[in-house]
Amino acid sequence: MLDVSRFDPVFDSQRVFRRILGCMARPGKVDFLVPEESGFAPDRAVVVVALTLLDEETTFAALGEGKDRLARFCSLIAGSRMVPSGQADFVFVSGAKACPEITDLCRGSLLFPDRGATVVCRVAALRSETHERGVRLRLRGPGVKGEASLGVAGLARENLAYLREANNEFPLGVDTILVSADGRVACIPRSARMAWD
Amino acid sequence: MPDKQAVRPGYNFAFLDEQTKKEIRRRILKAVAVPGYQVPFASRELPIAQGWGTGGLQLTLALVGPGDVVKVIDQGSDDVVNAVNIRRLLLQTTGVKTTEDTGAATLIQTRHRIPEERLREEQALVFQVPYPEPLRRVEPSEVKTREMHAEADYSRLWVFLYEDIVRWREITIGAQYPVLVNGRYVMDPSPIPRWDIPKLHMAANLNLFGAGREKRIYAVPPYTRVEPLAFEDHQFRVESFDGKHCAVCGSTASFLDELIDDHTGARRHTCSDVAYCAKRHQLLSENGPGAGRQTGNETGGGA
Ligand SMILES: [Zn+2]
Repeated sequence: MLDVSRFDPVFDSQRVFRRILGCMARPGKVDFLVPEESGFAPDRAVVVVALTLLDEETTFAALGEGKDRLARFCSLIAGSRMVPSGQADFVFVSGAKACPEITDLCRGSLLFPDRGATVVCRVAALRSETHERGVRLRLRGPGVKGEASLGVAGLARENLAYLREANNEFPLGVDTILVSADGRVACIPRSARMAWD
Repeated sequence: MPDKQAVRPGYNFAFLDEQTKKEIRRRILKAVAVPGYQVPFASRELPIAQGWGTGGLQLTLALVGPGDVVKVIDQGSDDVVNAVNIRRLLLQTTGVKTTEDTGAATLIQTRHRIPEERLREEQALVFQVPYPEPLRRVEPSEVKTREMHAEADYSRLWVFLYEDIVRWREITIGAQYPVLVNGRYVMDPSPIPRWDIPKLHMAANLNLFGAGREKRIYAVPPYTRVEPLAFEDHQFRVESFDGKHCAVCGSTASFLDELIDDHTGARRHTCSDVAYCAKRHQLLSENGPGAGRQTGNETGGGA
């Protein structure tokens, strides 16, 4: 089971939410979800995101590596209900391996685009500049002054292509929260236009 | 640091229960991801009267944390009863620091104005919205307006604006001037004056809108296009204060309220943004008349 100790449901939720919001409003911005000095486990960032956003009113699916552990955590601790990935509000994805299910997630409807899924994607590392081991994303659109650069390690290029395909009919689409093993967060809302090297 | 003494016992932090906050937070993220689209949410009862900003207040309560410095304004003033009540509720349920200084605030809740001082990237502005639907002027049915937004079919609103021009030779909408967000959704910017509309365009700060009665949340992220609806030969114009200035601080680049003296009947003008006016007034009295020089359109409002 994942570690939920040291998470205050009132104050840590508020702090984590504001950081996710700051990143969702500014695609490409990288922030810390977990204090840098706290010596956290690699899954700590995904755990705090789940504790902040999921509850009995939400549904989720977990795909890829570590999915069983995450599924147990989300249903038992966060109280969220597991459903097939195509119907889930939140979809947990492991970024390193290609995950073609991304193109079949709920993208909302023209009447209710807000029903599009939120993808929580685990990656190895996130940096505002190019990461030596990873891919450099270039982002444009609402929240970005000109062009933003985001360095991501541990994210398969196939998954970027799947995300771009899922978001090619704005306002339909999915919104992505990238969380890294080193405790950071960055977001790619469906409104972002995305290119990579 | 928050003031623990100010917090009344028996309240949840920020009044709302955690499940309610979670729901509002999820909706806020979707609102940001689809700029200008109205996200439905389950609005809650609050211990202030409906129509007194329960939508904006619920957003503020879901956002606020111990590290925030909060400012609350109503029509540009921190001291009118609505602003005072909301600020008191925030203080009593969070102990959070409050300010009247726009530049010192991290979170600003407002009714009917955008501060004159340009907001920064790390600030969030929360609007209280009475009527979120910009198409209500032309279509009473919620089902139909939702379809019109879905299809980006705004032709009936354009006809409405055009008829206004035919009849009055200009678009007569003052407050609640409809805007196009990110080239996709027509949005009601809340009853701010036209003067404030240009401040939304490519703003550095995040703008969040909450309508309590109609249960809607929407957003304009930073650096997002916000264009007032207008015609080629009838451009959008802000209110004109040509030849007028603030009687207190001398400003010629802020939105002015007109006051009429009860006894003499004389008219004078003062800044609607009271904190902005006070800051300028203090600057002038400390540093002499040159200190308050304005380089025309410093607020973005005169464009
Ligand atoms: Zn003044």
